[in-house]
Amino acid sequence: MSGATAALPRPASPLASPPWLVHPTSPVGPDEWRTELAARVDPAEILFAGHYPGFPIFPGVCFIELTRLGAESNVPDGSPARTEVVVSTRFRSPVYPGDELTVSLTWRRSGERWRCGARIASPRGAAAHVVLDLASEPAGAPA
Amino acid sequence: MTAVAVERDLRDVLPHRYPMLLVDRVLEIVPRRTVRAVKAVTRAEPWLTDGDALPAVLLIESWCQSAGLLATWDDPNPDVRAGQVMLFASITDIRLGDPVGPGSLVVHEAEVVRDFGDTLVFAGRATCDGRTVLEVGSITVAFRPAGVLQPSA
Repeated sequence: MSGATAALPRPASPLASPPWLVHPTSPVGPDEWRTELAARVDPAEILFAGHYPGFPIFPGVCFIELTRLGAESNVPDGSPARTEVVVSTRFRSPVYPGDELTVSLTWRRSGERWRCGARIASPRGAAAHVVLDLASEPAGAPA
Repeated sequence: MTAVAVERDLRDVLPHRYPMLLVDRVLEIVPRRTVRAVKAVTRAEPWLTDGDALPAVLLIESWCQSAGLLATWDDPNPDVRAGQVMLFASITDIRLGDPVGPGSLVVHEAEVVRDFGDTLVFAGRATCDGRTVLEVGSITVAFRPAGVLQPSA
């Protein structure tokens, strides 16, 4: 597999309502940073029409998407980054339209990449744990 | 056991519907063993605007739905509000390749690498025009009573 090039389209997002920043990325140790975000699961998200009819429930992959959206714009060194690997995801409990979520990111360096772990919680408790590896995008790469 | 090409309405097998039914056709399947299925990416998908590609997580979802067919093909339950439902428990090591845009035909290949009865582990990849666009280390699904999805659970 190869990385994105200028000719490749940028992936869209299935979420119209991205997470928002609560506390910007800041160091908490010699090689560790944290970012706090929040999100509201908008009942108007179009994906709920099909997931599932008559019983809308937040798709598990959207926990990965919340993490990606929050991580790619809040890398500790401020550089633009792209998600390359979903290292792991554990699904804990379902999330529904209208839920308010907290998204807590923890950052470490992982070779040439950034490793970002996200703990996502709903009002009922832990919802998911997601770990992503992100790579910095080349300077000057078109958006 | 031999893989067979099949014509089957996947709405009879999966609970997902437009725009979240993300697998279009099964090329061949050996239930609880292997599957090859396709997803056609079109501009009609609501999240795509000019120049954009399919969201990476929906490519993952599309692969998961294809893999899920392996578990439910012989005993489908397209209603998530009753009976036993298939839940994704965990994902490990998914490598994202180049984005896929409108006009792309994605071929998903999935196999069952472990089968514990009510829990299965899948692995595989997705390709587009011969390029690998997704590598899936493992995805674990478990069958549980539908009640676990209810808000009061």
